[in-house]
This record gives sequence, structure tokens and C-alpha cells, in this order.
Amino acid sequence: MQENLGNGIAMKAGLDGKLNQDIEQLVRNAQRGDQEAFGELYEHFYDKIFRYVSFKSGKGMDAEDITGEVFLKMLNSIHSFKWKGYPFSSWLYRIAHNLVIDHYRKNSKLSPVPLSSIPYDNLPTNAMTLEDSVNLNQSVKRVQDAMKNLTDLQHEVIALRFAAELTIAETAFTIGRKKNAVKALQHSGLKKLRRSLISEPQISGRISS
Amino acid sequence: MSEIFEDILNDCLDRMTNGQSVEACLKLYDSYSRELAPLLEVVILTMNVVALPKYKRSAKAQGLIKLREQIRQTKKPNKSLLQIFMRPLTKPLMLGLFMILLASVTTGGTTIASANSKPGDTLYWIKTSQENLSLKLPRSDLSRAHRQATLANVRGEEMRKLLQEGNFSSAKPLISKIQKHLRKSAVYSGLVIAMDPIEMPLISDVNRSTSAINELRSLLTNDSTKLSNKLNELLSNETEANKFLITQFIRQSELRYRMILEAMDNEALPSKRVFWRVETKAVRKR
Repeated sequence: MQENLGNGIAMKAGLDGKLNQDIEQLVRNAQRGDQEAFGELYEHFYDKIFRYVSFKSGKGMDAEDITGEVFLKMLNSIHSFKWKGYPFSSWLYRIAHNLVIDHYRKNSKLSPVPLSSIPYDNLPTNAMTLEDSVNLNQSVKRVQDAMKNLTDLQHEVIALRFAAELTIAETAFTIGRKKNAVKALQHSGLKKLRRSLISEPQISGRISS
Repeated sequence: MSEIFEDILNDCLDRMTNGQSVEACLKLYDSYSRELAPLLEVVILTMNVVALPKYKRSAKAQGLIKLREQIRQTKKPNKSLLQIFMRPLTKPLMLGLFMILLASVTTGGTTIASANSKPGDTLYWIKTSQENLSLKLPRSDLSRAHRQATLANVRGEEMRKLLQEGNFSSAKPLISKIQKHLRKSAVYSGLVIAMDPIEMPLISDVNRSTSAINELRSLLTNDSTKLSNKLNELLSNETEANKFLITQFIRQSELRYRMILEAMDNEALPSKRVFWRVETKAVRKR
């Protein structure tokens, strides 16, 4: 078992190491004003930042605007970014996190966008076991409602690990915790999500067992 | 045991992110499959939910256009004399010359008077100009850290003077400035800074046993204690309403110092976070 753990982690660490070197070079070029480097950073991070922001804010149209703002803020602040042992992605996701929070604070008087208006295009056609006869929007709502039962840190870890696809180390740097603490938060967050999903009225799916 | 399971769960998540199936993970960790399976179901559901929102390609393309436009704006050649003087090679020299010039055109008395000024005073701009210039001079990171800590102390003293005069509205922004200087001090001394100090506490990333860091810690501890003591002295001759307000300032400034000091001591754990209680009349009556 330890060997399995070691092989999986080593493989990912190797790929991550190479990718981090490329990102580091891009960031250094961007800090020198290289426009192409900014473009490459934008392409590399856009999808994940958008998913993270969407997941956090639950609002599709606002997520596009906020995502754009993240990169503008990156442009304005990248000169002050210093390599002090934490990855660039952690810095970028902190910007995204704070912009989402600021956006909520500024627009606290606006009523939340109903989930049905979120642009859920290209719905998956291969039905998962849990989704066999479940209305997909209701599943989304269930997960969104269940996420509200998590603590702020659990929510953040789930968002960074699943939406942003950050590694444990990157997530740890982003939220200012040690790796073991992140793993524990991940575990407790998933357990709590499952409990919340079980306690809600079921339509179908294994999770009710 | 729990830690082993957490490692296994994490490994499965990494594998699933890389495209492996739930079944492959359960087969790999067969002895843990009973506990793993329900959690991995939740993982699949969450991954599906996360993957649903799609952005418009036009929105992404427009974002890139805005970014490039912003780059062009910031790259415009600025032919002003100031830009030439602020080039990397000439910048320290010009800043030094400007400081000498500033010192020479201001009389000794003016400089001393400005040193004791506070927000709203006529000569305050001289004080802040000198501070800003001193920050731009070449220094080591630790020297900058000390300088920022000193400036936090200066802001604290300004705040005390304003509170003594009853000028609470002018004193309020100084809390943010104290925080700004302390955060910069923390960054220069090598601490990892969280953007939101309430949700994501500071952790330390440096070897804290160096004498320079210890010296900085002592400086910050002394400054924090002195500021608290001076602000507490103000409470004796104030009305109840003003006492309440001043207490808020005491709490806020202590919190800022406490956060950086705890990060230096690596004590920023949830169980040891600072909890501040505002003493209300209801509490006093008990």
C-alpha cells in the first residue's frame, strides 16, 4: 500500500515539478513585461480560475467578469510577487478568493441568481450511477446546499482541490495551513458533504444507502 | 490510522483528477474500499457539478483583449524626466540627492516639527514624503522589515495623539496603516502572508532562530506593549462612550501586532487564535 501511495505521489510530483518550472519561467518573463508570457499565463489558468470562481460564487455571468478581474489584478500586482517558497498558483487563487468575497460584499443587496439561469451547457450524457434518474439541476442544488454546511476552510479546500485542481501543497500554501491539515479538512469536508446529501430527500442514487 | 486513510483518500483524488476510475482506486486499496467508496461517490458528484459551468468563448477572448490593452497602457514609453531619473541605475542616486535637497530646503526646526506632526497638520506631508523616500533607498529585506515596523509604531503614536484630542474619525484610518506596515514588515522578514487575516492566518516559512528575526520580534513586542499602555492611559479621563471607542482601538492594534508575533512564533493555530470580547454593560453587570 505504501508503495502504491509512493508511486502515485512521485509520478504527480515529477509532472508538477516540471510544470512549476515552466510557470516560474513564464512568471519571471511576465514580470519583465513580456506580453506573450502574460497571454500564456492567462491561457494556462483561465479555465481553472473560472471553475473555482463559479463554484465559489454560484453565478455564471458574474464568474466571467470576476475571472477577468483576477487576471487584470495579476497584471497590476505581478511585479510585487516574490518567490518565497510558495507557488504562483497559490498567490493567484488568493486573489480570486478575495475578489469573490469583495464581489459578494459589494452586491450583497442583489438577490442570488437562481441556479436554473446558470449556463449549464454541454451536460454530460454518460449517466453516472448516482445520476441515473436524477434531474441534474436538482443534483447541483443538492451539492450547493450541502456545501453550505461546511466550515469556511472545508469549503475552501473542496473548492481549491476540485474546482481549481490544486495539489495538496498548493492548497496548503493558499489557505495558510500545513499539508496534513489540508488532508484532514478534505476528509472531514467530504464526510460532511455525504452526511448532508444523505439527510436530504432523495430522488434516486446510491448515496441514499 | 486516520492519517493513513487521509493519505489514501488524497491519493485516490489525485488519481481520479488524472483520469483514473473509481473502480481502479478501490481495487488498488481493496482493504479500505468499504470506507472509500461512499466518499469517492461524493467526489464524483462534486466533480460533475464543478465541471458544469461553461464560460462563453467570447468572454474569454474579451478578457484577453482587455489584458493586452492594459499591458499596452502600462508599457507606453513615458518620456518624462521623472521616469529617466527613476531608472534602476540612477534611482538610488537621485533619491539620495532629493533627500539632501529636501533636508537643505527645510530648516532644522521644520524637520523636527514635521517629525512630530500627525494627519491633518500642515507639515505632515514633509514627514510622509521623507518616510516614502527612505523606503525607496536600497536596503536589505530585514532592514526594510525593521523600517516598516518602525513606521507602524509611528502611526500608532499618531493615532494616540489623535485619540487624545478626541479626533476619532481621523484616528480610524491609522489602524489600517498600522496593519499595512506590519504586513509589509512580515513579508520582508520572510513570513507567508495570507490575504485575509481573519480567514487564513499567517504561517511562518523561515528559520525563526536567527538573531535578526528575534530582534525584530522584540521590537514589535515592545512597540505593541508601549502602544497598549499609552492608549490605556487615555481611558481614565474619558466619557463612557469614548472609553468604548478607545477600547476598540486598543483591541484592533493589539490584534494586528499579535497576529504577526504569533506567526513568528508559529502559534497561529485555530485553538490559539486571539478572541476578543467587547465588554458591554450587560457583561459588567454580572
